[in-house]
Amino acid sequence: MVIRMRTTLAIMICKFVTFICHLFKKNGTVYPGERAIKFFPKVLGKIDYPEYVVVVTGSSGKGSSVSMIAHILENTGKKVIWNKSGSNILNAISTLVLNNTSTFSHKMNADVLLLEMDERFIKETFAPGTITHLCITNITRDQPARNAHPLMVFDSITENLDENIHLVLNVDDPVLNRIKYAYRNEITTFGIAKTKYDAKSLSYPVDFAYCPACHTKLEYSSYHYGHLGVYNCPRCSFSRGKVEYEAEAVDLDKGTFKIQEDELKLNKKVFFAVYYTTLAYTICNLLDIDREKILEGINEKMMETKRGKTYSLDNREIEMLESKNENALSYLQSLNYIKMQKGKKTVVMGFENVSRRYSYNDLSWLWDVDFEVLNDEQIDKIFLIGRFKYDVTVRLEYAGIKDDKIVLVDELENLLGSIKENSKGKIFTMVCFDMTEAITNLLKEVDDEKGN
Amino acid sequence: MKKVIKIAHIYHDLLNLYGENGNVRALRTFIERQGVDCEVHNISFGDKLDFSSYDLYYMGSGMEEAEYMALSELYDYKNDIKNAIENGKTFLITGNAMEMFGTKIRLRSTRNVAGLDIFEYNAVESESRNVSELFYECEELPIDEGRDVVGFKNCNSNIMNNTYDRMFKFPDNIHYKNFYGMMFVGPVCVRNPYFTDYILENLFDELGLKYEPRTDTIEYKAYHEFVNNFIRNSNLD
Repeated sequence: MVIRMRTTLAIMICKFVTFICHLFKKNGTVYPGERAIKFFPKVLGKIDYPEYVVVVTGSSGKGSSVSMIAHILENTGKKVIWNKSGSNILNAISTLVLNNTSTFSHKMNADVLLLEMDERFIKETFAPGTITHLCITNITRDQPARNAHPLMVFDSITENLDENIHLVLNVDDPVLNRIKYAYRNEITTFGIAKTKYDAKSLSYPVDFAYCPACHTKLEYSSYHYGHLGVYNCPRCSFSRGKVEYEAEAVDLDKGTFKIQEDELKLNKKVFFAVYYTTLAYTICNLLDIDREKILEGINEKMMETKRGKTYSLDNREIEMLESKNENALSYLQSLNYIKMQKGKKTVVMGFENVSRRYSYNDLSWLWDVDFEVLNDEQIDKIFLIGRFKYDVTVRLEYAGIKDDKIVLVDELENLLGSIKENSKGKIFTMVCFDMTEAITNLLKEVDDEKGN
Repeated sequence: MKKVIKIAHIYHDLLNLYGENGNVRALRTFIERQGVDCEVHNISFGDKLDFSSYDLYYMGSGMEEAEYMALSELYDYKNDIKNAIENGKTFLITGNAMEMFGTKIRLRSTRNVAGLDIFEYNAVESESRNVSELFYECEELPIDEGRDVVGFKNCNSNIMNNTYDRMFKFPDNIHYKNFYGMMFVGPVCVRNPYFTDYILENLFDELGLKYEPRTDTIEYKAYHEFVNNFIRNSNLD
């Protein structure tokens, strides 16, 4: 009885603090949960969760996967509670859960709770038996100063597994494939078959090049990117094996692929879109969603891509791409995207700080990124900005990019003028969080001047 | 006069966790700027190791699993490695690869992993991951400019009982003959061009070649920019 009372009060606190936050036009995604947890630390263990609690974790692709899954589920009329903002610390999840829970019955008002989560927060957030499906996208080098290395992330994920969880694994990743051999409960696998975009070999470092069982070098028939690909051990039985939900016939020009007999469309013509669409298709099948409805959500009522406002400079289009420092493969995705675009191109890169989480200036990741893909005749100029522009210049020169293609810009306010005068073609910016806003402001000023 | 310098990048696909390929690329670039050819041989686990025919051996950092896997093979070459070091071969060993050359690695579980027992230091696994940005003066560098070495540590252990000569005033490094070991991870040679010159000048000297640092190149510009931005006004370590 006391516990029920405390649960009720914790929910009330969360809802009340959220109301106050909104009253004062504050975001209120973290603080209300913090207050509720402070009042009753075990409150999340007392909630009556919906039938499905789906968590997506991994080094990259969590946010886009969760968006696509939510889009399909909502299209079927399901009530989905999900962390749209990507905020996944304990207090943020608490706010989300408690604000969507009945104050007195303690039942969540949802058919599905869907969360993207950093693996390290799973254990402290949910009691064993709460999560029904855990989807893992990949484990790659990501924020080494924080995560140390991929196997430490792997250990952190496997520590969170309990016997009730249905795992959904991307077995293109050999480190995730290890779980298949150790976990004795339900597992569903997904991946991408060999595509025409794959490489036969790679020129940059790959983790998990060896079989974890017998230490023989894994044989890849194709690499999608990094250590993700189609592989097997030539000596023992460790292999990617038969993949239950496997994307085939990937065509990025048309934006299509197939899973079994189903033709699927991509909402974005980039390789990693195949992964998040395949994962969404897989998990929705596992949640017993009608197949026609899944296809409708993916193909007909296509999810809008997250595109910011598009700008132009002297009638040249500017596309602002995500640039994730310290995650070499994610960074590479953006470089590959630029390479795939037709016509003359100008690229802007740089960052003022390596990370928003810490002040370390660890630049090791620059040497894990395959900047060699920028050796593209269609790239007219590469503009470098920010405090690390000389370090990036070193990396580009080692990648074989000629001096005369690289333009260093000391003062950000001179960037647009320099681009106008010294370069041609569509402009792609690949700057980190700290520079995006500054460039956007410069572009707005240009727009305003035009307006005047 | 010898005109080709051969580098062995040992376990390039196993001990290459934090962009350490940059070190081998920098060594090659710096050597070629001297008008000397450079051959880099990437050695994989299971390949035959030869500790007599290369001029420089490089090994970088790896996940602990990879480190112990590498050790399992290196035990067979222990005497060859020891002889090569005693005979003045150049070894550049960065990150946790340095641990392997000591007597043992003591794990938190109190289990010991035997090292190659070439040096008398040992490694002790720490309670939590050691992550820090380190700036140390390398007093062995002949000039003031460039003495601040920019390093990054990201490993599970500390080096103990290290009584050998050191390049920097912190325990996790060693300079013995032409063996340079340090627990710094990442592209140390790219980020510290004066330090790279120092190692290569010694190597060139051993080989009877002349070495002229090319301080007008981009690595030096990047180094000075970083030092000005982050070390001059920094309280870090």
